[in-house]
Amino acid sequence: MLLITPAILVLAQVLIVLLGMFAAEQILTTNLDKVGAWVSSSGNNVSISVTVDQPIEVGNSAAVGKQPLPGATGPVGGQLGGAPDAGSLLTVLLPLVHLLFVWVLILISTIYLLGTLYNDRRDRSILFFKSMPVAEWQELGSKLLVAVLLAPAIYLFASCLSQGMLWLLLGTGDQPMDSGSVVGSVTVAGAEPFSLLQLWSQQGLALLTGLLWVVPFYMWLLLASAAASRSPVLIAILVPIALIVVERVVLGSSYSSALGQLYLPQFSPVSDDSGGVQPSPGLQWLVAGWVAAAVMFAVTAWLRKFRFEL
Amino acid sequence: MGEPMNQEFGTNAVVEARSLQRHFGSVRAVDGVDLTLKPGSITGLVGPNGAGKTTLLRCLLGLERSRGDLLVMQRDPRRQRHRVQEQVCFIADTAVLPRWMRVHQLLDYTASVHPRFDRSRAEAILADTNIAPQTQIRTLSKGMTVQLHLALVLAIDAKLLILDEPTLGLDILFRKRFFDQLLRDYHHDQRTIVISTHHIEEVESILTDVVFMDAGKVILNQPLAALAERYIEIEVTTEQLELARQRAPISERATTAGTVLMFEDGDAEELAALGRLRAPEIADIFLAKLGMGKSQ
Repeated sequence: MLLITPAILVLAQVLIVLLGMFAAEQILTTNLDKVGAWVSSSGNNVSISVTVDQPIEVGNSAAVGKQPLPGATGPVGGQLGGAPDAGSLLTVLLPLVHLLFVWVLILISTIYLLGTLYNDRRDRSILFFKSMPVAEWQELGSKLLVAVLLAPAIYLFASCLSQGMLWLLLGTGDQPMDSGSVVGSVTVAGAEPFSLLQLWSQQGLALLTGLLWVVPFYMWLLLASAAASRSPVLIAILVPIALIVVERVVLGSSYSSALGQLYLPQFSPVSDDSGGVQPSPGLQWLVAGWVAAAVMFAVTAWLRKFRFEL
Repeated sequence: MGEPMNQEFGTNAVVEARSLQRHFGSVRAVDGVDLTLKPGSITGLVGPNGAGKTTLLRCLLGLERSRGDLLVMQRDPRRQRHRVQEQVCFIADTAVLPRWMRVHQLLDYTASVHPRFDRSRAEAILADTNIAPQTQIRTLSKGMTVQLHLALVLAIDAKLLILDEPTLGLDILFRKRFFDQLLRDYHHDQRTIVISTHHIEEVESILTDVVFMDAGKVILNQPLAALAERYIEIEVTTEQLELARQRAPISERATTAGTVLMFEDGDAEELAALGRLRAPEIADIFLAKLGMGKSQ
């Protein structure tokens, strides 16, 4: 039941990726360097996902992720294809595809979490669910697990599938596929399956790390969903903004906004003058985030128990 | 349960409540209710709109916070709602089934979370209706949704079934079938049922007990058999009216044949001398009690 929507979306995405590949080809060939720079800069800041392991040779190489990953080492690009063009194309394209999946994953998870504890109150089906011998913490835990484990597993699988197809299509063709384009000149020479697996494991590890960090954010969405009487989205956005504004006006400081950014999955490239290096926030902040998530979990469970009427 | 409790409290009863309270601001929705439900009873909960029936039932189900002592199936539903829910079933409102599910998914879900759910029984009950397993719940009519919910409930081997206005907004044919099915296929001496309703006359025939509520308080709680003994109506002519009025009737209403007066704990033989005796309907007793409550 819960899987149907993401499954359809994943399938649609695989199709879109494969179809869009041919369109992307034109853009990629015209300005490979630009795309590479974009991937590396945005990849750096999509903290949930691709962070450190962007195997980008071209473009901005100063990227260091929020969380340095052991084993997430240097560029894989050279191993992917023998011909420089094919290698460059794949090293740009595969992370790009993965990035797309991660973005959609974050988007879908956000929508799911904001809606899940609100919609059943709106249509009153919560009264049915409460007639079942399921405790609030069990219900809450299962919904959190969907967003933190199940959906990412599905998306990671779909991402690997798409990447694998692209790799097969672009990396193994003996004949020119489309004369005059870079794709056409891709050859099989030197392509090793192992390097693709390495890329996948790096992506998986990065995703896992990102998910550990995003748990407080996801828990906040669930809290907003359970607390809202009109719009969970507004609660989820306005409360932090109000907090930041009040802090700035009253105390003149901006700790809350800095703290918020720590746990937010970030989409926009952060401009920094320090050469793109973000300090690693450290394990204690991860633990702090989880403690906050535990508190929010308890509050949400209480709201579900006694404050579920709209 | 930290509060000191009577030794007998909750020993055998399915539901045991002592001075149960639930206030919303200054509104006392449930105002010191004492209630004991014995196994095998079918209790009708009657009251005007806003009497606190729904809030009381929700307290019993652990859906509301409340003060006072409360045990349902020997457990406190405010602390252990999900444990209590293994033995208690409820239909809190019509058409609250998750609309995005299909019928077979609903059965899948219930089977996966409820240890006392008998899926084949639910399927057998549904086979008698025109609800197909593949049907999406959102496409079902209100009556069919209630039918589906009832099929689900009938297939759960619960000790206590709580129905809050289960047939609200449904036609009389369906309402009749609903209660027939409940009595025939579900009820036995180890199962307790509580029904709140506006249509007391429709459930009257299946009830063993009746509870009247008004303004958050229980104003009457009697076995149905005792009700017939305590309340007597006499139909009097205009000549006897003044005489009958002196015996402190609790209600008086005009009919085509004359005036009907109701007496609480009256002497049947004495009253019979004044006019024709008759057994009052529950709805009339309720109206009489309500009138008394308001005049005080």
